[in-house]
Amino acid sequence: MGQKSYSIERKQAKWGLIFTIPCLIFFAVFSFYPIINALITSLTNRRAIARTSEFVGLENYIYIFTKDNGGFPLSNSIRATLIFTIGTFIPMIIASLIIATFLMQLRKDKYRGFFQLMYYTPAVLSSVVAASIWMIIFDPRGLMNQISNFVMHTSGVDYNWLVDSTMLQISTMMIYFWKYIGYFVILFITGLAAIPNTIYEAATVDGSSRWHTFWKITLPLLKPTTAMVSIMAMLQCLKTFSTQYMLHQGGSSRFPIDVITMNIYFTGIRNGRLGRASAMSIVLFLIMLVFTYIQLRLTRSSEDVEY
Amino acid sequence: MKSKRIIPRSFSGILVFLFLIILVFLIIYPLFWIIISSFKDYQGIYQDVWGLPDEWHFENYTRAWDRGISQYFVNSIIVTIVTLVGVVFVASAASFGIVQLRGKLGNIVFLITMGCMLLSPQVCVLPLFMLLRSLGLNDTYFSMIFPYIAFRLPISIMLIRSFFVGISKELEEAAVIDGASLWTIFSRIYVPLSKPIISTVIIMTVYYAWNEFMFATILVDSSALRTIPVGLMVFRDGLMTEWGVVMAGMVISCIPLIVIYLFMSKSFIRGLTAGSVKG
Repeated sequence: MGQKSYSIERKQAKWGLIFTIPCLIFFAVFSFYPIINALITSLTNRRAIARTSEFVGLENYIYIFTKDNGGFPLSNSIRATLIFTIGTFIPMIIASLIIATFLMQLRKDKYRGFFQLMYYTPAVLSSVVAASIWMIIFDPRGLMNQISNFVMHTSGVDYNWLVDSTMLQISTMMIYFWKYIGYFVILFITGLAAIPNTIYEAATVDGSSRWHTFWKITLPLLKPTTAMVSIMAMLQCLKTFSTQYMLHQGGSSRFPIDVITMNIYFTGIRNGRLGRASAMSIVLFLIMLVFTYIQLRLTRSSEDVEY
Repeated sequence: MKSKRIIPRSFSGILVFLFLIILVFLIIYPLFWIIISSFKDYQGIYQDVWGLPDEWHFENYTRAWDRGISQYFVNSIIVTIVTLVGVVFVASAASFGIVQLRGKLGNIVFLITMGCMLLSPQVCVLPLFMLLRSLGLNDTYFSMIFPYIAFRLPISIMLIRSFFVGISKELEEAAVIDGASLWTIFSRIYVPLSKPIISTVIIMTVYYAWNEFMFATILVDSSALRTIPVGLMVFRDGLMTEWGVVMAGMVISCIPLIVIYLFMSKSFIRGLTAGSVKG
């Protein structure tokens, strides 16, 4: 019997490998090859139209970090991406933490389910629909100007939601915030639900006020979740493309919202500078790698938490 | 989980409840507004921003459908279904293989899968654009389908594998003694037992393939192959003045996912949290 099961296991192992082959082919062709190809292309002066491709060393990297790339330098893209990321994820984390804490106070799970369902609905829509909805709302004659005029006690003022460079950046943040707030609320609720009730009961017995309980118990226990969710939100924001692209397609100027992904698209695909755009892709890859590494470290440490 | 730390029906409790209700209103209102406005004509949208339409222009919907949405809709269905079949089949086979390959080799394959999670579509889109061009796939449905499958695989494998690992080995051993092939064990034992997690993977994949925009707009040239998100953008730019029709197109494009979401919200939300918090 021992001999037989050994051979069965060997056989299973051999055939098991065959089951993984389709997946490995997909990874090789559509994941690993592209990133290696991007690395190689970033060291050449490859262009789409001229079909040239010569090895130029680090020239592309020096170019994208020092030159202005036809009016849209990478430094501006990094600025735009960072402002968007910080301006979106900090309000999002604070708001979703507050909303999740409130939701946990509800008497019935059924209510909580309803609110979650509602808050998450915008995330179900495609980013094109989300951006289009808000472009109509931000239109000079649209809803947003009417609300702003009402709130600011002005009349007929156009707040230039899609024109003014500061307003344009705020608009992209608002669209993203609206679309993903429900997602982060759900993540926080998962974290909050993992904190055992006994801790709260003990606190109540000890006469701790709810405000005090939140600051001294909930928040410290929620630290790993908060760190994880923050990193995830940042990773999401760094990858943003559709919202900015849609607004630019709709007529807004590119410069204030020229995030890294959009610069890659315009440099590489519209202008055919494949070498330079590949170098930008590699830069984006490295930035995201750092964040993902932090995320993995946090996941590992958050699994060790004991309440 | 029954909440024990119930707030008394106090003033602050009512305030919290009110806050949550107002928030629902703020988040849902833009959607509601789009639906209402999709029945208005141009004058109606701008002259009476808040109100109900004076006349319900149901023909906005038939016009949107005839002006191109029908073609985009069909394209999206084709791309979504093929992607879905590919992801479910390749991911469950790979997860099964990883579980069978106990020891080092299985770990290596799993590590490769995890490694692919580091590669985001945004980083790969430019090289994929070059690759698909040189393969001559840039004007086919596959220029969307292949990258979609590739980028849905890591997360799907993670979910399915974690489920497969928990399946008891006794059934499998009994089947092996009865002379069942590995394929039989896979298709008759593992897959049927994993319906809950596979349905989560299905929902997440449909959601992704139906809404994906970046690949669809960059990797596809031909207007005949456009999926709903890209189509909507073109549609919007082409019909700048007919907002009612454009909004009708947007509503049509959202219906399938909203229906799935409302009926299967549990699987939807499980997929999200499973894929992220444990990621």
